[in-house]
Formats: sequence, C-alpha cells, structure tokens
Amino acid sequence: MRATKRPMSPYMLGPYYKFQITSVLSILNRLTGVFMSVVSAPLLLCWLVALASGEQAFSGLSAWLGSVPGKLIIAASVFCFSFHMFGGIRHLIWDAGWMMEMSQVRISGWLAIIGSVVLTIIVMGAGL
Amino acid sequence: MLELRLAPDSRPQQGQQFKAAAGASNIKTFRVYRWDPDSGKNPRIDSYEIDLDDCGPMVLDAILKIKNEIDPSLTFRRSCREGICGSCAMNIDGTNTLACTKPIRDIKGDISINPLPHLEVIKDLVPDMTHFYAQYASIKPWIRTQSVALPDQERLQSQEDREKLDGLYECILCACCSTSCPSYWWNGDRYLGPAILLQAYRWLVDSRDEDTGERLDALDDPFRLFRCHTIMNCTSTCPKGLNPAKAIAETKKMLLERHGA
Repeated sequence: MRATKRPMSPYMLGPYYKFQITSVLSILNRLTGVFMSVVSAPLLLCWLVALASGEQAFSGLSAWLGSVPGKLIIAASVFCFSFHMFGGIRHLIWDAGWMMEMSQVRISGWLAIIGSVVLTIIVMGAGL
Repeated sequence: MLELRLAPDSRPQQGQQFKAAAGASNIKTFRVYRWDPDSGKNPRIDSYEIDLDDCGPMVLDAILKIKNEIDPSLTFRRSCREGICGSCAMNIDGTNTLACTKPIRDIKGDISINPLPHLEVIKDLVPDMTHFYAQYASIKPWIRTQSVALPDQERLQSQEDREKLDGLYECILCACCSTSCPSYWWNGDRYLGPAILLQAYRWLVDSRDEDTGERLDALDDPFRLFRCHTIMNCTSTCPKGLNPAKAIAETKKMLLERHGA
C-alpha cells in the first residue's frame, strides 16, 4: 500500500524485470506444485475410488485415461512431479548451503529441466 | 501482499522523443522513466537518441550526457562513478545494476532505464529508500560486545576470522539485490530482504561481535528472514558479485543449529 501520491516504480516480471533462470524455475516449482494439488492428486483419488467401486467404474476410468486427453493429463502430471522433485532436491542442497554460486545454480537449473523432460519421456514410454 | 499490476496512476505512459543531432552515425536510444511530482500526471517514458561516438562508455555517461546536453531536469543519484558508493543503482535493461559500471555496449537494442523496482518514486530515477535504511538500522549494524575492552589494545581478529568477512564487507548497500527480489516486492514491509540479511550475517560471523544470540533472536521470524524462498534473483543481479542468497542460507543454518534440529 502506498502512503503517498508517489507512484510505485515498475517491477513486473517480464516487461520490467527480466525473466531469468532463477525466477522462472522458482515460479515453475510453484506452478507444478499447484498443478499436482489441483489436478494430479484429485485424479489419483478418483482412480482409487473407481478401483474401490468395482469393475465397471474402474474400466470406464481406465479407458478414459488411455485416451489422448487422459494421456496428456498423465504426462503433465508426471512432468510436474518430476520437476517438483528435482526442484525439491535443489532446495534441499541449497538449504545445506551448497551449490549456491550462480554458475552452479544455472547448471542445476538446466539439469532439473532436462531431467524432468527425460523422466517424463521414460515414464510415458514405459507405460504405453 | 501479492500485487501483479501497478496502480493506474503509477503506470508509465509514452513520453517525449528527443532525436539525435543530424550527422550522428552511432545512435543508441535510451528509454528513461520520468516522473515529475509537481505535474500531477502519470510517469512517462522519454526516449533520447545519443550519439555513442560522442559519449563515455558507461550507462551513467549517457545519463549525464542527457542531463548536461538535452534535458537538465532529469533527476538521478550518482556520486563516485566507479561502483563504490552505490548511488546510481537503477533498473537497466530489465535488471538492477549500477549505471556507472554497466557498459553501454553490453546491451543490445534500446536501453530501458527505470528506477529500482517496487519503491515509491520521489522524482524520475530517484526512489524513496527510507524503509530500506530503517531496515538496515533495525539489525543494529555495528559491533556489539559484552566484554570490557582492554585499555591498551584493540579488539583483535585472526587472519582466518577476518577472511570470513570476505564477500560480505564489500556490500555497498545499493539495494540492487533487495529490489530484484519478488519476495521483497510483496513482503518488503516485514521481510528484511537480501541486502539487509547479508549485512546481518556479516555481523553474525564477525569473531569480534559478542551479540550473536540476540542477533539470531531478532532474525528468527517467519517474515524477517524466512520470506527468502531461494529464488536467487539477488545473487544473479549483485553488481559487486556478492552472494546474498548464500549468506541467508548460512543464517538459516545457524538458526537450525541453535534449535538443535
């Protein structure tokens, strides 16, 4: 809140403050967490409920999960899980005070991106 | 509080354009944030074409040229012109740095120059730093001792203990890091921000300081210290090449050790 009539200097990420691997991966870590809470976890819950309700419900859900939109959601969930996991490992390492030089931060950041893409491809490839 | 947009009266509008003199060959455009407190109008972005063949190498040289030759009303802070006073900290080309040590040739295309982000603007490129300095004062940034000083001796420090201050004492409090931090933008009223936390750590690791416990008490707070989410924009932008994020991580470790995790 501004107490005076003075303007607030511009700050928004993107137009006024450059997106960098630091801020982008921080935001991505949050977004992947949100996606898992809002989409992946409820989907898993539905799957368990269907499993408990009997053969008909389970096969119905399984068929939908095998369709293109179902597979896309599973792929997105696997990516979010992978990225969030690698992000969590980075934060654990940082909390120990390690790997905090900018060169190391950039390398671990790219490793998290590449690692989560590769892991997603492996998991989806194995499931097909 | 999370804010994603500027209030309507803070949004910069298109301002004036100043063309380079005829015959200039090496032209660079500087897009500079302007706000005049007496105008009652919104901030504006003025464009100045500068002939780089007739200008010093740093962004500050161009800003001084604008003030001296084109528009004397342009207002900004500067003093040492060699990266030691921290006065000319501003947002240049989308990151915070010192105008005096930022070479013009490092920036491709037009150069945007804005005041340090998410501060109240006093005029043009001069933001209000009152809160930042008050936060600095709040950590009591001076040596605090319990023991009585010897009358015939200074408080000595071994070379190894002195080396622990390397990477900390060089901080010039320019506020580039704090105003690059999204956490500080949104919780700066209570979160101390990277610059002040690096200073706090500078006293925590000083072997001559005897108030470590009280200093840690003062930091052990969900906001003052723990709004740091290790985004690392601070370390990325520091014009002195220091590492505030690392200092904050070490401070968190000190608190963890004291809690006996």
